[in-house]
Amino acid sequence: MKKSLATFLKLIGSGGLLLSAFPSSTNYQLPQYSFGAGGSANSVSSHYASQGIVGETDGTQLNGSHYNLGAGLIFTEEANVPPAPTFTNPSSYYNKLSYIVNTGGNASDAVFAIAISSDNFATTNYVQADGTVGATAVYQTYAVWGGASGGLVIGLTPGTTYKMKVKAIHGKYTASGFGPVASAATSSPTFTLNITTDNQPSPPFSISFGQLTANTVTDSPHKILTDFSTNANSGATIFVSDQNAGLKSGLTSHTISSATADLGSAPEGYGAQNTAVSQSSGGPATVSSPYNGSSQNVGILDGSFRQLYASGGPITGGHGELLLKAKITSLTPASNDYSDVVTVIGSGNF
Amino acid sequence: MEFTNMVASGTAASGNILVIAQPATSTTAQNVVITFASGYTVATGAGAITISTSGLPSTYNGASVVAWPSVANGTASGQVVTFSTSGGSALSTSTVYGFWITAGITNPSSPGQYLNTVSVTTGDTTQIATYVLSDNTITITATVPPIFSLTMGGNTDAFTGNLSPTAIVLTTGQTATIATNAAQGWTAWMKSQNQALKSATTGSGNDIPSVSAGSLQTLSSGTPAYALAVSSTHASGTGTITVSTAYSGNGTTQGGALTAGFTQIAKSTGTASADVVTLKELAAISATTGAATDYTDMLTVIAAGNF
Repeated sequence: MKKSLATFLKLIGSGGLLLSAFPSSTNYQLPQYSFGAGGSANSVSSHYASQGIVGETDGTQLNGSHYNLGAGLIFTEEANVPPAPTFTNPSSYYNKLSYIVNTGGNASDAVFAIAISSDNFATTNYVQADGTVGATAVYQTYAVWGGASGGLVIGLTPGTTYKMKVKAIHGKYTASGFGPVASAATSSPTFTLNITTDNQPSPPFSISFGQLTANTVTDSPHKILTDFSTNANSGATIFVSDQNAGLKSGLTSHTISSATADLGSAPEGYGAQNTAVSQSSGGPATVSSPYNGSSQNVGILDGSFRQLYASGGPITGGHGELLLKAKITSLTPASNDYSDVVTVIGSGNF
Repeated sequence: MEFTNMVASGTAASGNILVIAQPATSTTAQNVVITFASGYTVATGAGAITISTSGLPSTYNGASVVAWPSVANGTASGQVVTFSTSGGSALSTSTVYGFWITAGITNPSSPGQYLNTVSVTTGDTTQIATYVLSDNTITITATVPPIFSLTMGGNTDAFTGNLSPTAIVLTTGQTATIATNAAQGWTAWMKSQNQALKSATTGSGNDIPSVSAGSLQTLSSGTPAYALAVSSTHASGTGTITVSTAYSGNGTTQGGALTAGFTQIAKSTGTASADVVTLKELAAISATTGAATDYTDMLTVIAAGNF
């Protein structure tokens, strides 16, 4: 029915006039037609164009289980059906997927629409020019769709399998059908955090400075290790705080207070200094001021959670090592119960 | 979401949850809906999930944080908690909003990753992975030992000039610097080897004897005598220094005895970063005191912290 209607429409645009009773059937009437025009002619208005063909046989597609064969000039003029796009999740994305349009040999000025669905095309949406998903088909050239690099379709639902197919248009009258389907799945959001010390793989964790010496900066004998990974688009942020804002003695009521300082010149103090930061991939992991000092410069530890590490994007195997330093004077009251509790937390920035 | 307490706990976990979000679409005030993953215990009852917009960080991930307009305590239905923002101002896509959840949520008892969902009722939604650990704290300990140090400025102390029957002559002075964290301070003592200035050349008949012990003595020109004057300075610490009375004179004509046994010369009542005790010897001779260049004595100074 569809192809027959198309044939009637083309006849309407062929020009000429036959004065006689209009041919009609139950459902259709042919108000204008002519014979003898020969060849084909195009009729163009501001919004529509029609191509007139005479003598064309009624083309019915020959459909098989794997291939469709369209006979006739129309099918010959149609754009090549694009092969399945390259559709992947290269980096455990949770809300986007990567695609590359396959041109299928279409000309460089052919335009393509990318259909996407999460329900096997019971519902069909289309990739928009900005990468989001919308109801309206958007046609762009291969180059605009990102060319060989492709692009990202964003705003997807985590943990979901999507299917994608592409169709092409080249000039007028030549839209292809959709090509084969490719599928890819978004990951679920992930964030992991692990805290250890360099000599204790499991809790409870403790680090003892031992005996401090007046007028000397003492490094903690062990470090706090932080390991984190996430696929969050904006990476992860790790924070540190402590309980006593210093090393506090209950017996003497004295606290070796923590402050951001150069313990080399400060008479007394306590703080943290990062000594190593790395990642397996992504990120990179960075150390936040004031924990990025060197020599005897330390960052403050207090009841506020202060940013310790960050990654600007997804990261795998983020790793940081935090050293504690302390210094006392000859006035610091003697006691064996100086203590503190350091806490490390973190979150993925989804 | 940032959990200030990330420890697995079967009981109510202390610590707040910071909820930070930047809308994808500009919208009028919409309820905030958080679906906590299975495992989190969510308090029941209207408004049982309490919130606060006080104490928000000024920035998060480099962006300024604004209190979520009109957000109210949340009410749970299962794992789904709805925080009403009724009457609040419209949200902007260029603004990061936040609020604290202060009570009503208990961490899962098992460590691991959990998936939660944050959304507003317009359908702007996102999944968030959080992590629960068995322990994220490290206990730090240290010992500050009793500290005491005594440092002498030198081992010699010469008279500033020849002794004279017409003047009382002093030595340059020598220092003893004391540092201690002893809460009860310190005490310093001195003893003299000769209890006099003795000359091997002239023999014992020409000793310049020490003044009498027990009290501060005043030397007179022309009368042979030998004494010790003590002074002090306090840099910092809780202590107050007291020089023993017998040695605390005018420092020019007065002094105390140079004793054979240790005699207290000064003490302090508290800690000291660098208390300085200065010892100067005084001597007077007569016209008949034997001439020699080898008049000498040796003082021993000790001190101790009072812990």
